[in-house]
Amino acid sequence: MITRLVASFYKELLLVVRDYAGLAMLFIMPLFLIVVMAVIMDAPFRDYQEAGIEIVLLNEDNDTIGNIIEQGLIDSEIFSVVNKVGPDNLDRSSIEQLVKNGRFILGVVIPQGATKFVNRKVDAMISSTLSQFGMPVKPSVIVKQIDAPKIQIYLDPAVKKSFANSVTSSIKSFTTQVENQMIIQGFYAQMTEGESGEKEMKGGLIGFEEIYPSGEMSKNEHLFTNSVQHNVPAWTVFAMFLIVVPLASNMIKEREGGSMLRLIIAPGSHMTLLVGKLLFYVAICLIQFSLMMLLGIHLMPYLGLPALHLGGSIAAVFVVALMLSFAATSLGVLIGTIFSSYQQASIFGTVIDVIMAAVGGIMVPLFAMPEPIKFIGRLTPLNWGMESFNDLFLRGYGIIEVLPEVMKLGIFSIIILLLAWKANKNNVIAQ
Amino acid sequence: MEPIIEITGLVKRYNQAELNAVDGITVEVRKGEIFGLLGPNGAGKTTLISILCGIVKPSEGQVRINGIELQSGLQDIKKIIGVVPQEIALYPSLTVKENLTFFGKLYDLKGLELQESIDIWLNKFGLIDKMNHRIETFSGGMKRRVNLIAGLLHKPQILFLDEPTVGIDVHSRAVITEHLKEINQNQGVTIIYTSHHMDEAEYLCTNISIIDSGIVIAGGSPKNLLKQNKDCNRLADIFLKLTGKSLRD
Repeated sequence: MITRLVASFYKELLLVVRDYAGLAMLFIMPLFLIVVMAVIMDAPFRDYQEAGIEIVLLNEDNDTIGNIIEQGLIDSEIFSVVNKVGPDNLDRSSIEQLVKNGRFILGVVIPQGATKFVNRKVDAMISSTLSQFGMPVKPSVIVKQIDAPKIQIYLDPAVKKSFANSVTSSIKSFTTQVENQMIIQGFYAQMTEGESGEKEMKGGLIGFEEIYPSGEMSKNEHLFTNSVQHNVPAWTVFAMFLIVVPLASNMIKEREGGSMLRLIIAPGSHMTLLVGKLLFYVAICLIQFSLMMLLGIHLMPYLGLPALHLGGSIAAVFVVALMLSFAATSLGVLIGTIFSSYQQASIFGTVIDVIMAAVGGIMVPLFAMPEPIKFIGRLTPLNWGMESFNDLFLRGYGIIEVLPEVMKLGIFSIIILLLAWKANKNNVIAQ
Repeated sequence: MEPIIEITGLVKRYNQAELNAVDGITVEVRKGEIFGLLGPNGAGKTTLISILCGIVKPSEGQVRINGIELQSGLQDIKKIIGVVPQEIALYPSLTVKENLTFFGKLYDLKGLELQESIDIWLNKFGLIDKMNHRIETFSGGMKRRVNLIAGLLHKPQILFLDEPTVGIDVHSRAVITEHLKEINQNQGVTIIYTSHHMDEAEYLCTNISIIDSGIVIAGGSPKNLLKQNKDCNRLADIFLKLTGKSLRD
């Protein structure tokens, strides 16, 4: 039995080594995929953090509000503020034109008198409030209804809505901060007869802190917000399932060529030979996985991306990779058994992988999907694999926590292999 | 000579097929014979061989090979039979040696025994200097010869050959038929053989069954068949007389 098993394993090795296109598909394409996806998907991760998006700004106000917004935009590090383009001074129409022709994706105009208007509005509001409590009101404050000046934000029509919302809310936040500051200062001035409240107001009332609850790993906050840590494991899972194509086509070639007939006619269980094939492709999957992880760790920094961090339990990572390899290989065996032509198997194998990746949260996060898709997504082996890696790489979990997902992968593999065995029996031994 | 294959009332009915592929065949093959299964396309030859090799399950009837019931003793039967399918059942990207080593190991041959067996057969079939060449670089005749060797490595008692000389050059055909005769005479291997080449069957076979539409329509030695059909000079004439001249697909 061992001789047959080893012979089957070695034969598969020779077949793969001699098939250059297959080798490229097994090793080079997945590595290429990982690099491309990590680099491409890095942009959205950096989008509003460190992308340094150029913004053209016209500060007509040149007073407190205008200056605070301008300084806020500069300090945010999201934007690189440009106040002058070419020899001429900027005006509203030139800003509109610069955004319209795509030179800038964002333009902001802070209108003249914005600070004065807010000051008057704040004074009026304070006076009105204080008078309700029977307190004396400064005679200088005359409430007059005038139109509020508007901060204009010009946006490239090609810009995503989420980005536009992010910019608008940033500017609103600066404005609100200034308004609040002015209101409190106004109250101080009214109540203390001119003394400023600026000192007490600095820094705002409520602060924010982002916390990623992942035990020891929470010390490495940068891990949660980099594309490598999210994309390399996710696309590795996708790439591992691409093994269904070469495996299924190998089985179909064997059947079409007639060599399968010899395997069936030979004494002993055909299952031994199938196990040899299965073990070989599981080994291939594990090599693929190892190469992709090494690439994440060692190559990504050369591409200006952070290195992949594998979490605290390498043994758990291996167990997940092993079970994922079994699941992918089992699916390949089933496809190779059911389909009768290479074309059918390769199209089905690729499409099913893409579909499982799409609904399983590899391409779009599962939380962003409608409820029925979420339900289906949680039933895919790609989702179990990706969630396991997220648990290990991002949440700092160990083998115990990923055990449910590992068991799901194991049960999936067994069910798929039983289906393949049943289909194989029907195909080979005519009833 | 004692019978090595006993087929009694064998029927194979495929799902949704109008006619039975094999329809009550009863045949006996004696030890050491070269037995020819002749018939037009679709006559049921390949189905019959597939049943005898355990690839296809019969619908009715009994088969005993070397005294062993086919259904219950398939694993024991597999050890004593060799099969040479109609297709070139080899891995094109592997070399001759790699292919033969793999198929030999399926029969638990290993080490020196396997290597010697490979060398002997490659020598006999004039392929020893090509043992490290890939199958995909071979001509049709060379592929057929390797295909035949793959079925002989484990020294089977019974050899099933399904059209082993189809589509090959005259030289390769001559080499194959000569060696089949030699294997039969010197090693006592019983050969069950299907072919469309009537001259080849007439030359090789000690006994023949002509099958059509799943039933045996004539049987006996080529000499006896010619005696029974005095209006025919060759086996091919008897074949056409019995099966008709209309085209078969």
